[in-house]
Amino acid sequence: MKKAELRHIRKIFETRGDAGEEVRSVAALDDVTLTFNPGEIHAILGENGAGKSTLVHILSGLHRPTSGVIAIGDSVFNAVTPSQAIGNGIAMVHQRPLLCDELTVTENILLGSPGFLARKPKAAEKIRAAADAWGIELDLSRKTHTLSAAERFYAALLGALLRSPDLLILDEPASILAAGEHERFFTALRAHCSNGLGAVLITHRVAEAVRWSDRVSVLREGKLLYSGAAKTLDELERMIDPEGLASRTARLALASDQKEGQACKIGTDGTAGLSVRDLSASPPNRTPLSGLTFCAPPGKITAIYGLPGSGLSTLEDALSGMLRCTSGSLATSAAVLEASEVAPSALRKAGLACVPSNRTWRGSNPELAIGHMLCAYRMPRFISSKNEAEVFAKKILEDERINAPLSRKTSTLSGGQLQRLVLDRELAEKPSVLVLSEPEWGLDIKSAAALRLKLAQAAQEGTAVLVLTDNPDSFRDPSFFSNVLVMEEGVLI
Amino acid sequence: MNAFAEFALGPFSSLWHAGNLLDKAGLLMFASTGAAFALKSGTFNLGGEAQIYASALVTAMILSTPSAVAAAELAGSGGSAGPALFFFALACALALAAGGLLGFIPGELKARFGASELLTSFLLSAALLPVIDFLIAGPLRDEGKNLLATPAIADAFRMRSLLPPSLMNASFFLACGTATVAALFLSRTRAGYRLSVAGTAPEFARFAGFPVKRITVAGMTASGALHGLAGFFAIVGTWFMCHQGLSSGMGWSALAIALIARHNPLAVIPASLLYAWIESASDIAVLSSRVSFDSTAIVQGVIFLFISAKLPIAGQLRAVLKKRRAR
Amino acid sequence: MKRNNLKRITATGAVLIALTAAVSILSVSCAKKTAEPDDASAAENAQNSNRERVIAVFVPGIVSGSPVYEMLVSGVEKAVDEAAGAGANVRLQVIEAGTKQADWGAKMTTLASSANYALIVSSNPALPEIVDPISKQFPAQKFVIFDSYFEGNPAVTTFRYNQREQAYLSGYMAALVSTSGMESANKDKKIGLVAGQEYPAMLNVILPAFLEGAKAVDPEFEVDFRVVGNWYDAAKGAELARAMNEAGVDVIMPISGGANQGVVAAAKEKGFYVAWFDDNGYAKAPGRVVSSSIMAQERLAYEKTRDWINGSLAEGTPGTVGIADGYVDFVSDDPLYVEHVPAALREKQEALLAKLKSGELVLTVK
Repeated sequence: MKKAELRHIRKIFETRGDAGEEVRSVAALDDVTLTFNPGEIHAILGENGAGKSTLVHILSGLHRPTSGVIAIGDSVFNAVTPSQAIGNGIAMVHQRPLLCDELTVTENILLGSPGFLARKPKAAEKIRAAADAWGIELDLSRKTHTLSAAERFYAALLGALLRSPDLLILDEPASILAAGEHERFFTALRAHCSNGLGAVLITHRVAEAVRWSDRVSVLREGKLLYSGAAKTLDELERMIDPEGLASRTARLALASDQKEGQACKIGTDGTAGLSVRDLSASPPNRTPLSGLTFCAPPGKITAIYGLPGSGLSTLEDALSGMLRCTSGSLATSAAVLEASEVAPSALRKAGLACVPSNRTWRGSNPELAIGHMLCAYRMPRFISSKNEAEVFAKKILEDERINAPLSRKTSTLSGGQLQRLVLDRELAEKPSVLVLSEPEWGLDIKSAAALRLKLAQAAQEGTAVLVLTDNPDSFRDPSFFSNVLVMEEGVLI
Repeated sequence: MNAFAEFALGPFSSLWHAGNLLDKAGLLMFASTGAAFALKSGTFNLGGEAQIYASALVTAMILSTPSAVAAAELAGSGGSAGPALFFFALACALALAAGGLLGFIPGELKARFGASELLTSFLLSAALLPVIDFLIAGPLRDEGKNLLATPAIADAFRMRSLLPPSLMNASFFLACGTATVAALFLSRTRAGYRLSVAGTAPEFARFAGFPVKRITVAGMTASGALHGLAGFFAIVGTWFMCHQGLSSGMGWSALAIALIARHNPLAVIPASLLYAWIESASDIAVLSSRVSFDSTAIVQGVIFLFISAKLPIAGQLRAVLKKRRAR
Repeated sequence: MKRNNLKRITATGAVLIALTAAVSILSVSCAKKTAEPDDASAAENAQNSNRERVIAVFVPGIVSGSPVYEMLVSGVEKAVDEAAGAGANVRLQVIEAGTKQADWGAKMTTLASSANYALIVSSNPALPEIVDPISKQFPAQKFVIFDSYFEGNPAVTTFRYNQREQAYLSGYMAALVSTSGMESANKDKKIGLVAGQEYPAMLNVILPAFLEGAKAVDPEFEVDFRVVGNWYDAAKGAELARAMNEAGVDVIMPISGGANQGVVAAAKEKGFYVAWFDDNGYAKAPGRVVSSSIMAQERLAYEKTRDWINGSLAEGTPGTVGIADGYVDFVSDDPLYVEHVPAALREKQEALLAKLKSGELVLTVK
């Protein structure tokens, strides 16, 4: 098993603005030297934009470092290509891997495998063996578009394992695994590492890093602050977020929430907030919803908690109009919509806004200009160069301290930045109901705190906030929610 | 080098060649604006050939009906131009409608049944081309002539050449105008904004409540209608009669141009000129130097090759240029 | 940023495309050019007193595989070579306009407008209609067009073959075969004609004369006339021929360009006979092709070009040539014909030919 090293790695990104703007250079990584040993779980901590992703992308060949060298075993490279990385035993599992929707898990894994002829039965056997060794339960003959996020992650993991890597890079695996699965996955990872496998774990969950890793490295603004044995939770958190903003805002949010009246009674309060009655949907290959009845009262933050596969993502699609429901109704203060009338435009007219779990492709699109993404609901009939929509979009960027021209693509934003912008866009419509699905995914401590603050403010202004989440703990304080409903197998329990 | 200059400058060696280059570019501009429109709305219109052909046939037939011929005679003999103008406008409207309909059908099939417009537009076109061929060879042919073509339209209906003896006429400027208006529509109106968002980000567009299905249909219909415009001007400005195989290759060239222009109608203007220039230059080379084949096919092949290879090559070229500059 | 990128990419792409296209064409044109005097020197020569005269052969299609155009080119070539050998300053240039009819006009105009050519020679019934308006723009340009008929333009000289005689010969032979005891002949008094398209000479001359010849054998004969709709679709040609054969037709005359191949293929497959038109076709399908009535395109092209070079061609008038002067004929000395067609039939055909040659039977074209 080989050791991998990054020596004095520097990565400068150049961004170019609109015509006339100067080229700006941003150092994503500044003189970082790190060693990844075999047999170790090496956690890389840092908030959004600290340079974690850039670091592992250099290791896996997706990025070229501006300077510095990469040493793998006895070989030294100025930069590696993805195939060199794989050839030298480095495999990366992305958080949301790109899979070919119409192919099965096995076919997807074979797509990337070397060799002229794909020998399917034999390969399938190998994949099966790897799945067993890691305790992964996944039907390999399923088409990947039917998979949940966690299953897609597993499919990508199997693909990586098939190459028998020395070093396995895992990008935020915990954020898409259900709580119960964490234990099993990390136990399996531990076991394989004790047999000599090296693992790089990108995470912003400090507790997870403390619990499972042998070595921890902390990045902030492209600089390596610490690399060594795992410290205590507090020490690490202070290192990552020295201002302690996270804990302060959590208290603020709590204070703004007057705890009263637990569950709302359907019918008494049906005209305000969101009330859902007998909602059923049965989309193919996904968990169906069977007769959901609940309500999200105005001025409150309601949570619906459910594990992956509980039907939570089906509910998200139903509440955002992306999925046709078979029966039931949905009411806000502005309108009552029967199942057949539920569509994105009708929901928006009824005063409902939504921040989907898939911010990248549904809440936005990497190819869209930031301005176009922000002004989706506000484009005037005729667009002149200086118009209200543009002023509106610029204000949002200013408020979020994102220094980017409106014409730049959203793909240049970090996950956290995108999440904030999508939320701001939806809040700007002053919705009477705001649905958020997995809003904390991919957010660092500071961003998550800012999110909670915004939600609390929206609730204070009378919006009914509904959070769909597979991990209520990520909000730290369960009292943040005025009511928590639990979903299992498509029903509320 | 001498030979290269001769090749490159061939189209500008006389008014005849230069004018024809502009005329050809104009027709391509209409069609490729249409192709770009479909691409912008996230669809692929592979039925351009038949949309141009059918519209050209409709134009030629309307303008050679007995009443249209009578109207043209009236205008030609110093009488009122009104009836002739009416038929001219009618032919234009019906050409737009014919092209639009051929775009609408695959658009509607996609919106309603999810049928791939890539397939339906191509199949519709492939099925229609032989039918039109048959109509021109048979019932609609000018029986007094030896050509495989419909009767020629009257002089009154022909657009005047602006650069005699070439075929260049006002349709070139109309084409530039059409491409510009299309570009303004896409960048400066809400409808255009929604159309391009639905094209680049379909799921987001649906999420945001845009009428994605209607946009698909509208994009395909507009694309067909713009191809129809190319067919209309091919008759009134260039050929004056609908020859068999009139549109052959034009639809595909238009698609190639729209791809080169990266779906941007404004970039379609220079891209069409470039394409027409290459085509004219190669035609002239063929005529003056005994090259014994239809060379345009090869040129087209080369262009298509570069469309597929364009991005990486352009990227590498830029990297090389950058290094040079840095030195 | 997006816009800048776009421009740069478009520009780079454009330059690359232009370069490759240029190179691909130059490589061909350079190779060809070495064999010929340079164009620039041609221009210089034009200013000398002994002006070089360039004769262009405009081929509305593709030469290779098309006997009519092959004969045209070799006839003109022969006249030019001969004149050049005798010291005349003439040169030949062949231009293929391709099969897209809509482009012929523009290409012909390109030739006429260049004023490089003393004479443009071509062959196709449709060409005078294309050439006449062009000639009005460039009245100095002379045209000689074979296989066509046009009056009223002093710059356009046309020659047509007496296709009434030619088709009559075919119809007569076809009917002889159809009523003979030959293996694949049936009882039906039906023969067929497959045309590429309908055009005046076909409808007014060839088709009636084909029937006229057949009726001279037996007045009960009918002609099954079918149209392919273009000049290249061999599959359609075969399909039509099969259907005609099933309807009782046992001899078919194809006049449909590339689609002729389909008719021949169907004849081999289904077992019927073919009457070939315009050139000697017996070898196309030995035993199946039973008739070849030809036109002497090569000789006509040679003679008229020679006359034009000598200055002895009567220009601006249409001419008609036929059996009497030897431009239309029937190939009766081909061994395949002798082998496969019974002697009785051949004798009758010989007798008809003799009557036409002697003037005993006169078939004029209106």
